Amino acid sequence: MSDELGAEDAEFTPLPPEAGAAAVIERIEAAGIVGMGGGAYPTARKIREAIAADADWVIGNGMASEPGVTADATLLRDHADEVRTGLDIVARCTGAAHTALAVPIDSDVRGGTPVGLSYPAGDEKRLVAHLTGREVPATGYASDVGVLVLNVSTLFAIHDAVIRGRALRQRIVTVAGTDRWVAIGTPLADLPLPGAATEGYRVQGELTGRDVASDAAVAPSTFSVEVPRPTSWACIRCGWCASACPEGLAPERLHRAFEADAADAAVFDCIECGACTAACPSQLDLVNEFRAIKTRMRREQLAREQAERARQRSAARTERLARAAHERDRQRAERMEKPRQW
Amino acid sequence: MTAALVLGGMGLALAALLSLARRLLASREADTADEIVNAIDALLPQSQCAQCGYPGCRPYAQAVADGERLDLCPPGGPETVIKLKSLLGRESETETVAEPPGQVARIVAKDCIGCALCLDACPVDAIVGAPTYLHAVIEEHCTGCELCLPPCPVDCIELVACPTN
Repeated sequence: MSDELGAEDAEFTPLPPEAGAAAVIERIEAAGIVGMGGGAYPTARKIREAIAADADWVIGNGMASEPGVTADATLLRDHADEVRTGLDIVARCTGAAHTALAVPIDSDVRGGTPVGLSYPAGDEKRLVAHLTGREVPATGYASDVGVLVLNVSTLFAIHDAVIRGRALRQRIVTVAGTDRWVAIGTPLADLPLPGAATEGYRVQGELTGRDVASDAAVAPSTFSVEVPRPTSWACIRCGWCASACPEGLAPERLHRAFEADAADAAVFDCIECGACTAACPSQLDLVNEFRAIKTRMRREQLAREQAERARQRSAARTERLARAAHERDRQRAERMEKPRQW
Repeated sequence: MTAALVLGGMGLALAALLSLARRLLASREADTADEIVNAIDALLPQSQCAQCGYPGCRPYAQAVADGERLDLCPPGGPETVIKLKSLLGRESETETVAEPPGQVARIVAKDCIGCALCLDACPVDAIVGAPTYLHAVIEEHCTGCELCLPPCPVDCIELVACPTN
């Protein structure tokens, strides 16, 4: 594993410890920090929203996003102090009373809170429920219950921006199983991957990730890069996916909905953890099938709403024209009845 | 003798029941027909473009309920035909429609003379404007039906691909 790149360069002057929340958030924004756990949501905006929502909890998410992605674990092993400082900076910004650095149960990171959840423990809703006892609404976010969850890589970047005055220019990426510091913007083709992938790469993990074109590059939110999964076979209806699903769904039924281009509202309960993908002996890329169903159903819903609006507008117009015609006829009849006044 | 009386009585009683039922259910029949038209209408894209030859989506829905062909709706595309087939149980019909273009109208501002002719042509009131003033299409409401194109005297309306849905 190579260490951080260009540690001596700095774009900004380090902020003093007494810097106010506004200055810190402005620095986070200027450093270009976004959610590095995959979400890529602008971190400054997320913190501002947490302040507006009176968040009293800040959680550093150091749970592995999926088995096999070890980038977060490596960062915690080598830079736990920086991550904890990042967490403290955010806690000071938001005025949150409680903080926790969630780490896997077998981790010995100092100051970490070992979380004894099984996969998908990195799932924000599960983590929040475990640590705070608050239930995040199914369609909501942690901020809805006053909790701010940030990935440990994001916290490290916040530390770098505030204490060392460095913009977000690098991150730890799990490259085919090995964790490396990679400059953001590096073409995936330049990464040391076994064998040349001409058809593209798999980013964000084997189970829950997605395939990208071969000319893609490392983004701030890219935590894992590998060569694509091998080909898959037909579903044999073994039902292993249903036993694996932590949400109690029947992935096999959703898979058939995908193949039939059908809609299935149950797909919106899928948290895209990839447990079914791991269980599937046919190596089907189930999570991406379910994402496709979600996208298609949302698009169809939009089309239906647009059609309904058009129908109402058309009906309103027809009625308006009829009313105008009726009014014209009435006035004409009135004129005909009255003799002309010369 | 008894058998004839019993059977005849049963026949009369059942006939009375049947005629009663018919009278009670007659009003429901009209409702059901309306529901079918509504169900068909719900599947149509509501662009009100009249390309099917009927003056709007609901009239076409009425016609389909009366046995009109299912493939007359270009904005609906093949997807609508498939849905109509399964709704009406007319799976055997072999009809083909091209994919819909997915477009909206846009008025070229430098060419518009403010004649207000396109305002009346729009079936969903998606064009705002007044005589001698520049007109504009509200993209959100435009269904891309092309009905505003023929009345325009200076051909200043162009069709552009739908902005991200």
